[in-house]
Amino acid sequence: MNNNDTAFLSVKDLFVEYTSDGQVIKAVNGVSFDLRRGRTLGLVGETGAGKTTIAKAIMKILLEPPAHIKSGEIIFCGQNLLPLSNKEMQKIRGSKISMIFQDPMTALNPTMRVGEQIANGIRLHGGISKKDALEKAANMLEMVGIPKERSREYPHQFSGGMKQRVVIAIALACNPDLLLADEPTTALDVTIQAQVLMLINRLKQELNTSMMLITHDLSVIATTCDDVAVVYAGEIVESGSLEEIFDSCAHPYTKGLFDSMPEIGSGGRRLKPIVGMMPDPTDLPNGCKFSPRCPLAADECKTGKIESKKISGTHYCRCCKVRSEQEVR
Amino acid sequence: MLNMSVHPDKPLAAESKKPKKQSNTLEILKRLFKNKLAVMGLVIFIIYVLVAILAPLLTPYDFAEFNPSGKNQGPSLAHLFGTDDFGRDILTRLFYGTRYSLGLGIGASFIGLFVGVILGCIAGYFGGVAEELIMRFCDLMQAIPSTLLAIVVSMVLGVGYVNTIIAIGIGRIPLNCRMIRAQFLGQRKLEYVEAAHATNCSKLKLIFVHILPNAVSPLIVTTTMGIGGCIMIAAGLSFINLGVQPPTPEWGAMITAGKEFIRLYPYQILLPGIFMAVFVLAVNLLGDGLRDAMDPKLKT
Amino acid sequence: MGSLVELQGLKKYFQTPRGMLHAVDDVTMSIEEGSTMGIVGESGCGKSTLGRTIIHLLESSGGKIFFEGNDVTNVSSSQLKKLRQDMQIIFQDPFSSLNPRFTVEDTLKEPLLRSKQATRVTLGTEIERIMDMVGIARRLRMAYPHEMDGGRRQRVCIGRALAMNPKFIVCDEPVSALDVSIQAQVLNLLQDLQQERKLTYMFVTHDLSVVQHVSKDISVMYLGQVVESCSSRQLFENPLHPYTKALLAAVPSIDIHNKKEPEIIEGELTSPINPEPGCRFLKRCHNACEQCRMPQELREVSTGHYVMCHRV
Repeated sequence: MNNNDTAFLSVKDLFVEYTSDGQVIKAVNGVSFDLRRGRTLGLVGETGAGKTTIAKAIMKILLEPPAHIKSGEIIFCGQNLLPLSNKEMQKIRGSKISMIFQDPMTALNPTMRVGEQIANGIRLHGGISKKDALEKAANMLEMVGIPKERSREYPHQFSGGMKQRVVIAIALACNPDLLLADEPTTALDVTIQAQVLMLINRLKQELNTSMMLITHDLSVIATTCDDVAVVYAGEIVESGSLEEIFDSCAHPYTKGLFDSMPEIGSGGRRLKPIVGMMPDPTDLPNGCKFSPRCPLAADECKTGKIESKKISGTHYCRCCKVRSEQEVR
Repeated sequence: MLNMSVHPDKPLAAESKKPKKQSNTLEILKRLFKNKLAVMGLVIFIIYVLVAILAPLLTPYDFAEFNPSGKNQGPSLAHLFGTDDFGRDILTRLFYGTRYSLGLGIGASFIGLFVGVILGCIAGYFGGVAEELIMRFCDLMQAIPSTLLAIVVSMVLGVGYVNTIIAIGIGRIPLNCRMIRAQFLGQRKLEYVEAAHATNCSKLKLIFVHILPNAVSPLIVTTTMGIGGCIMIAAGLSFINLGVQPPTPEWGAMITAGKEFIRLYPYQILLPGIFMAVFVLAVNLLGDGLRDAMDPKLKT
Repeated sequence: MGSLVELQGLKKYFQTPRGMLHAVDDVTMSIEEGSTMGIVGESGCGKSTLGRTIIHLLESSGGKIFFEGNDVTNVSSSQLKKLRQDMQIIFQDPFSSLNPRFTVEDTLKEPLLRSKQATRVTLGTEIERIMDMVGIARRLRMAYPHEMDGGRRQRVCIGRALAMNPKFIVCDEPVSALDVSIQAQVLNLLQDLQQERKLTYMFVTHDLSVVQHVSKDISVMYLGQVVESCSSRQLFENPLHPYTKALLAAVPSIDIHNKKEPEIIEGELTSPINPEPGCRFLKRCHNACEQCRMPQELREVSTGHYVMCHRV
């Protein structure tokens, strides 16, 4: 179990649906990936791809109904989380797996001092006294770069960037093994984003926390992640190490994402957007879900299940048009 | 013309399969019909409306005709709800009374709605002195209990059907005014209002065509439920011999008349009371259901 | 090509309970006809307020605004009506900038009629013309905002602005709320429209890669002031103001092989309420000195390159 290379979070064939007004929204359609201990996995994709749903499923904080985990396994440190009761999950949430959300403005309780909010998390898993918890909380604040004295202040007295640091402090207070970060810097200004990303990187190393970072921003992935998984319409269409994806991406959607980004220094060249939009999750197309927008689409792409092929090393791609490692040999 | 090869709205095969989604109103109605209690309330409401319209066809008796020989008779086959002290058939009077009471409830509620909306729009949009004046006026009126207010206005205007509607309607103005103003304060900041400004929209159009449709939803609920409330206030007025005067067969007036005989002939107050209570309950259920159907937060 | 829009010392202050908020403070710039001026800065720098003040959605507190050479700082309401046809705006949030009760047709109808681009008779054709121009399928004419995705809603907003047949459009973070692939579609659309209709844009954004892509000239704003103003190329090849340098250094790079450690600037924004005279970047600047406490001026350091920093 302590082997650094074994997958310490393993998601297998996860299917999640939402029912609303009689319609079934297929949010996650057969997602499988591994996260190795001590590494950071970046889950990249656009709005509606299903990334947040995956994270919430791992934490088991999806509201059921309307959400419903149809099938799959989420193996964390050798234990399948899905059949666990809420009580058993409570022991894991916060102490073994923690999550930080996108909007720091609404993630904090406005009527409670920040020190108390951090301390609450500690006491839930601790069994230590209130005084000790508050002291630990103050230490956490220092760790995230906020002076200890500010632990008696309320959230509204902090700016957006500082609030996000408090949120990170709460998440890391119990030194969890795994941190799920859902668009942690999207709502922040660029200079503050740089500060927060650096903080996350530093803490990750100091506390040896593994991380799953959800974002739509490829440059954030480039700065913080070791491995990447590209999500589209509830599926992982490509996954691999950072170098494999950034240097030699294979899936047409991933290529499209890179092409549609304006880059500093590229001048006014016309961008190459991906035609069309992500499909309606209540009415997904047959076969490859990207085929309606894909410049390479052919008949074989429109029917049947598209399997994920191994391209090299840890690089996998879910596309008919890409030749697998075996095919190339 | 734009380069068509990168025209992003080329109808994609998958999209053309999708059925066109319904408009907002239809979605609300669908949600409403799923709520059984609300539907029950609606059905009862419609029944009462039909009774009001078809009263002459449904009753063999005249509601005002004196019949001294048949007075104070209990419920029987000939008189399903019995007769009152003047020998008049109570059921007939209740059915005709539906016209007056419904008219009163709806009339008063809508007076409060229209005047309240206009005042609320002015207060909410223009702010400043106008807002202060209107809000203080509302404060003043809300400081007085609605029944008391109706009594005072009644005494000033005099008794009678139309005056009663006005008296009760005036009491409902502050509520509507405040609600619309609150909605306007929220909507005024939104960018579509700025965009309308930027495209030279006149103030009048902005208020009534752009913002108001987005502000009225909460009022639909309160106005519907207000119908019941207004009828109750009218009943209260009748109790103290203000409001609607005999021989008008208004429900409240009938309950008042029946109070004289509560020990001898309890049916004379009970049956009209139940008749009215069922209507008010139905209207409240309908209002509740409307609010749930319109509230997007309940949408999963 | 001369300048279409010129600002001289433009100011916009707000009175707050805590003091006077200097949202836009003494901004001077010149926007060339047919070009795009990028305004870049972070939250609280006043870029959105600047855009709204230029098109008179907010009343300026001082300074002058020139359009086509005419002083339009204080205009009568009839002149304003005419001016509004020439200057339009596109907002950031495509959801709140559309009336939820209006179909696409309703949204486009009023501006078309008011600007006399269409009469009751030609309305139908004109609406379709605009929809084609911005790339919305005609079948969506009776669609409501909640039935469309962000990209389409933003197109409707662009269509609404174009319906007035303007010469100048303030684009206030028009793609920030959109997904990356949709962003690219809308940016291309804006570029195409600019070429076809000879439009002039003021493009406000916090995203550096977007701003350098669309702009010919860029002004960097910090706490209500323009701290650097130059061409797009000059900004990225030779940034001079410490804040500009910090901003560029903070942008995460997509190049995984040249992983520069983003140089972070410490601290947070100081308050724009009752600001002290002198450089507003003082508290966060590595190079600060005593002279920085004196009021600073925007100086031309090389051709077309202006910086508000005496140490450059």
